Amino acid sequence: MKTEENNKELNSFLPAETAANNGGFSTPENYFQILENNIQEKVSRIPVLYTTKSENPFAVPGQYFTELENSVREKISLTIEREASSPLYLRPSFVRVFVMLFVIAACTVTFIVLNRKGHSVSEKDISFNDIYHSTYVTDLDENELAGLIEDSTALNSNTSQFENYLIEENTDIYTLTEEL
Amino acid sequence: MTDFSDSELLEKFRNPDTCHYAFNLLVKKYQQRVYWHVRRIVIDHDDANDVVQNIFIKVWKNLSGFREHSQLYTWLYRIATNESISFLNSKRTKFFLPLVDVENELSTRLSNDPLFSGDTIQRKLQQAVLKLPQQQRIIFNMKYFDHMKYEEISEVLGVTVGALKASYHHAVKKIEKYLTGN
Repeated sequence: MKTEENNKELNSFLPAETAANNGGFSTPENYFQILENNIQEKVSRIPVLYTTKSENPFAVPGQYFTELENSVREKISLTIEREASSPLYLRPSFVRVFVMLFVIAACTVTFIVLNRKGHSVSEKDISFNDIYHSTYVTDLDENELAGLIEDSTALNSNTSQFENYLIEENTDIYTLTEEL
Repeated sequence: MTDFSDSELLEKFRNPDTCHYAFNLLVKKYQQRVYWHVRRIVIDHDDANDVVQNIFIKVWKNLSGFREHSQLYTWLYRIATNESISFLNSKRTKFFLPLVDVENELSTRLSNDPLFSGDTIQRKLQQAVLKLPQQQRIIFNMKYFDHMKYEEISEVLGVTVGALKASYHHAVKKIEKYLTGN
């Protein structure tokens, strides 16, 4: 009661505006309407994802996770049983080892076949008689031979001599092979 | 019960006497995170349930070969992501559907999902997420809902952090556009 009386006493000495609780301040005309619009506009510019809850919106049936644990346990027991009862050759571990061994064997066989002795014929293994008795020489065309000699970048003195010999003696490869 | 660290769980799993116990603890520890990750990708609860069970069976079969080059939960997330994608792909090939039709189907399921407890804006957000390309959708889910770091997502998906940031940025822009109707 004493406080209220004191306040009344103080108010009587203060200007009338203080009673309106503005502390003497005023605002421009329609300020609060404009402020409301400004706030609404600024809020609308805030990215939607900032105001949307990132909480999980999905739900599960009650006790689902307890049931899931049991289901997983049951399925694993079944898998173990199935694996144990299946024949050895059908077990995944056996199939994996079998495939690995098969690949290794296939690679080894391929390597051996490609590198076996006598597969590739070396130049040393061909004798003069082999060439003479083969149809290779008779199949040769002298123009083709001359072309090959011209094209060859590794012309040595023997090749040049042979070429000169053919020209000087006015002979061809057939006559030459017959003479041989 | 579930206070064991990942390395303790793995140690127990490698011991034949405690492997079942360790695996049960692992399921208990990670089932919810794995389930929600899968659910956000496949949307339907029953589908998510099937996929999650397959994931844990796969984990059981391969856990002995886990060499701890990565963290256990990123390994689990990787399996979960791959299984969920495979599930959607198998659905597509099974019904000869193009990708967009699978997304439409997921969108329809979401609209009629009785196990969706979110409000209208959250439903609309999920619809917007479904419009994203598959990889972008997974990245957005992992970042926005699972609050995973880019480095962790990178480890799970095998995508660089820079690519993830760009992908997330594009996803956010597309979702904003969808939600504001611009």
